[in-house]
Amino acid sequence: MIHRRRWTSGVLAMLALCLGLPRSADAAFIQVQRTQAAIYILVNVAPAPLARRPDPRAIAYEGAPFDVAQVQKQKGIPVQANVIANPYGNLLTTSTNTLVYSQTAGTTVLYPCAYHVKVTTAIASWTLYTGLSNDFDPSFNGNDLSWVDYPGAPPTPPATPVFQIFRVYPDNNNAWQADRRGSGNYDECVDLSLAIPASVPGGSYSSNAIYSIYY
Amino acid sequence: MMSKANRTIVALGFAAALGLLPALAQAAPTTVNGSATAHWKVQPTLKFTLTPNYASGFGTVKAVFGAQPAPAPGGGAAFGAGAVDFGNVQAGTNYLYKYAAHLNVISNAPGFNVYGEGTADFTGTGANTGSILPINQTIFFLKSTDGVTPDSNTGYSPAQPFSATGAAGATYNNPAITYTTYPMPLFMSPMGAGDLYYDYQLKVNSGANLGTYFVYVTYTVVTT
Repeated sequence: MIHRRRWTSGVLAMLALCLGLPRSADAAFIQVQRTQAAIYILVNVAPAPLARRPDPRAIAYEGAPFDVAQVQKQKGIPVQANVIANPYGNLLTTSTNTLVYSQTAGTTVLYPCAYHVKVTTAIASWTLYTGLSNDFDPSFNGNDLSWVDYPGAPPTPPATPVFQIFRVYPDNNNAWQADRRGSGNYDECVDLSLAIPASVPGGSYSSNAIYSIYY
Repeated sequence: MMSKANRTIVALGFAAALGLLPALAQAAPTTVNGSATAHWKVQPTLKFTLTPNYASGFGTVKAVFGAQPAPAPGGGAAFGAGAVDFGNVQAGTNYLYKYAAHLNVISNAPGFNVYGEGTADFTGTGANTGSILPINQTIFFLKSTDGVTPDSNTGYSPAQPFSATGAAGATYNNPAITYTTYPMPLFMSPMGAGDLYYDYQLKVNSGANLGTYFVYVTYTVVTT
């Protein structure tokens, strides 16, 4: 009797330990990565030098002893592809594959429900992981982007959202960060919060938000 | 023998000539100072070559983390020629195309701008006619190497989207773009000559219709 009580207590203690673990320690639950989805994020940081469009027809060196007349040449490359079905179908999809934001350095902007992530499966237990593919730039860390997710159909944002910083896969020992565990179909909305340090020079920067599903 | 009349004429001629000499001698030292402004335009020279699939190892690489798969271009690509052909690509998947385009510019100008745009969006062809993938969400470019120095890009490396041109009259299956206003340049060179090397990326939306897609990416080099 005492032996059985100890055994039960041990099991309950282990269960409590598992439930109490933070999400980032979900490695023990990882099975097999089935597929990934990526969202390209382009951030145009103001002041953007590329926005200052020069007049290409202006003659260089005005007043110089000689001018070179302007000349133009043009050539094209054909680009082609054949889109075929994804073997994982709609298992993991996103509402968009591209986000473009224009934001001034030194500001923080919230982008509510920037995109949806959808899981379409009958699998009873799956785990969703996320992370950024790369820093935006050495001067613009991926950790400057934060996220919070919540059920997206219909969107039910939390009253007091708790944002998590995006971990950058190569900076995180090539590990993803846990998003959530679920069962069957799921549709989540993701809010983004982007805080661009004032020191980031104007220009265009990009990264990819990656979602991976395991079961 | 010279006649008397002739001798007279010759003598008068000499006299006249001698009489003028002092006048000529006085005119020679006179100098008029002034300035002239010369302006001319140098005949422009611009040689622009565009080479697809410019280095060994060109082709499509599926975006993955870790060890990279071997490049595998589609059948429309050939070394130094043909199309940037991604071949079969899965919906909802990202790809890199290595060594897609090499631009070589030689001119006598002090600099040049490079403009690069799609002639349209990525346009469905054949049985897929009517399908459209916005090029600025589908085809991207990023700097590459000359191929001698290895290219470490992946399908997730930072990249910039191509835009579909706003110039009237351009179509997906014709490389010509007639500009009345140039778009934002991809590159501005402070020198009259240079080489640019680009990889491309393809990000296929998960909702993309299945089938073939085609577009021209047109580069326009303008001396400055």
